[in-house]
Amino acid sequence: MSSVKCNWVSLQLAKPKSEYLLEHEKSAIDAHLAQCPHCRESAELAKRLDDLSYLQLPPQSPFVEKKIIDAALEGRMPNQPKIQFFPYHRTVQLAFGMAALGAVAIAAFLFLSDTTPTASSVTPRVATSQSTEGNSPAQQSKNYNLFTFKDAKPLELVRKDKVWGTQSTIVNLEMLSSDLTKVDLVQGKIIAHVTKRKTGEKFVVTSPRGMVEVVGTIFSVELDDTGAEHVRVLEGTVRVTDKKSGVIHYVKENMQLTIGASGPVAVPTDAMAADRELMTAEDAPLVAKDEKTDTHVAHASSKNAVALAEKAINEQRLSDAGKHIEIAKRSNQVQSVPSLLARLARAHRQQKNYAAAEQTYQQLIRDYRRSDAAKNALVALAQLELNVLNNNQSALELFNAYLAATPKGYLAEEAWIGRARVLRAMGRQNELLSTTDSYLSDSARNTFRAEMLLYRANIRLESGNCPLAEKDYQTIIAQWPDSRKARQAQQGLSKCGGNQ
Amino acid sequence: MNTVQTKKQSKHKILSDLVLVERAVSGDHSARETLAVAVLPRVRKLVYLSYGNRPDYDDVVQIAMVTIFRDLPGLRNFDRFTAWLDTVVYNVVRTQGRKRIRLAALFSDTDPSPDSRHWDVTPEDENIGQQLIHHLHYHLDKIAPKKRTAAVMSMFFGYVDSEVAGIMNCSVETAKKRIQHGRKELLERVQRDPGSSGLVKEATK
Repeated sequence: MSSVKCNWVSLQLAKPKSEYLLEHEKSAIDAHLAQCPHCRESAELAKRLDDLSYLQLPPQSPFVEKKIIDAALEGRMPNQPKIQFFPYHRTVQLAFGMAALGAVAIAAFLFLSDTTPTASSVTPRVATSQSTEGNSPAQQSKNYNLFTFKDAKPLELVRKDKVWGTQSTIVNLEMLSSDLTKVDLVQGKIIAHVTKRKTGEKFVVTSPRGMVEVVGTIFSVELDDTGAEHVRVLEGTVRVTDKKSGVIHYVKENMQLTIGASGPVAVPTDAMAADRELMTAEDAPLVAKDEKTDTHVAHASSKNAVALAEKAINEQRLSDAGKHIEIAKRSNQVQSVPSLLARLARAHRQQKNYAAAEQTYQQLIRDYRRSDAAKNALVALAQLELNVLNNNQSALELFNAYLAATPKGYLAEEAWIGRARVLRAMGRQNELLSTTDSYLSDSARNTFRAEMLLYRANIRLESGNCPLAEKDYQTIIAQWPDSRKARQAQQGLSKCGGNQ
Repeated sequence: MNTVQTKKQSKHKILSDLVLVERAVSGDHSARETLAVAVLPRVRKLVYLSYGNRPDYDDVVQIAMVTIFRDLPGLRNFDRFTAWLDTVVYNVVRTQGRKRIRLAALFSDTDPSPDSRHWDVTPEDENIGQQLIHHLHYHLDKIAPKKRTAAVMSMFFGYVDSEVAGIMNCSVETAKKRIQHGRKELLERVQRDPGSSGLVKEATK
């Protein structure tokens, strides 16, 4: 009886504070608590654990944090887990796993062999698109899927239809049936190349006010900053419906209609050139043949420069990337340039082209000194100078520059330890001692505490100050007993003993 | 300590800054970046407590972050941003986490160790709150996932029953039961562990 009571009481105590108890429940609990010390302790604990929202995890390594943030903003998923050799004692599990895989494969085969070919799938080339609901054909036939254009790669739809979009254009793609494909333009501009269709098969582009239906043509729909919607036809004819007034217009080749206007007009040459440029951007020359005479093409090319530079970096075409970045610099997309330069420098470093990496970092620091990317580049370049190019003096200046610019910055700890390592390599003991003292004086800094303590202890040992050196060595051994630093500290301690 | 607190407060303020969230939703790059920095600690905490500190912890955090910023343009109700965020993370933990645990169980020789750390801080450097969160995580790891998540949402993020029900896509009654039983199990485990209960007392002095 007693244990049941305890169980009931502990269940009531586990209710959140916000949940009220009835009066008779309260009195029963109080009566029980008065005579049961175990439940009293439990009640005390429950009270203390009611709100733990103040608890925070310790800070993560700044590099890991930056990696995750960059990945989140660029939409990069992590790699799949590495599959190790199969351990013997997992054979049974593995057998079940293989059996399950086999069953899935058979089911997939039966399903595919039974299904009539339908126009309900998006080809896997849609690498830049992002779906809110997943990519399975079944889901796409029922739900809206959001795609954001990030580079010049076209979105390939069924029946070899293609849709190009300017950077950051967002569309909702809906495949209602094999006869009807609907693209809803949320923002930006798209160009659609629609293959010839039979009567009754529709390709529809909708925008907030307009609806464009086609049966085989190339056309563009643009939602500009003022909210006006322009439909331009490059080939064929489209039927445009104004959703507000219900008026229908047929727009023919080389004509443009602003939805809400009285009728189509001839397409301005620059708009036509921009559309054609976007369609061919993937293979287009980086810069127009003569920028002075062909300003339209140059302008259109610069619109995609950032996307093309990103693509070139991803594909390790670094010289192309450099040219695209130059174009972006001259256009109005300057805000993206620092991060592009940082990525380019990283890519050069990965290819072990250190001279180019150094040059790119220097360019970034020189031209965009106020940007965060430039500040981070100070540390990256300093590490490059220290570890690869063996230019200690330059590394020291860069670390100092970072610490002077942002003493509490994102990479401050890296800068502190870098500075200490440079000073150690240069044999400047006094400065190293003051650096370690400054670092260790701030208890919030802890990533490289063991290494700094070791440096300080070694200097003290060399200067004959064994008691203080011993103290540091002992701190290292006590706090990081299994680390390599602890072994080095042990060696230092034994030297101390020898000296004494 | 004060600066750390101020930082946390400022990050909390950022999460409730509707204008910033709106800008991020509309695709403003700098707003998205600011939001990502502010959001990451919350995501890490939720993943750590509901998924665990397994070897692929960083991967799950990354997947959650990528999913959040991928789905952000679809957010309509800006003042419910944190609840939306936690729902996304919960779904990622539930789906991606489960898939990865199964893969690891099939192919990996080693069981995930809840004690392996993913940050550069040794236990001695952590403050009492940070030690307590590791202890609580250790006990939470032994509780069934649904009860665990409900208890975490209620105790660590301050959600009430109806909000937990919304996040976990279940009825309010079910959420209530999950919270209650999750909390009860955690309490019992902490009470049985003198180290943890001592830490609780010290941390909530």
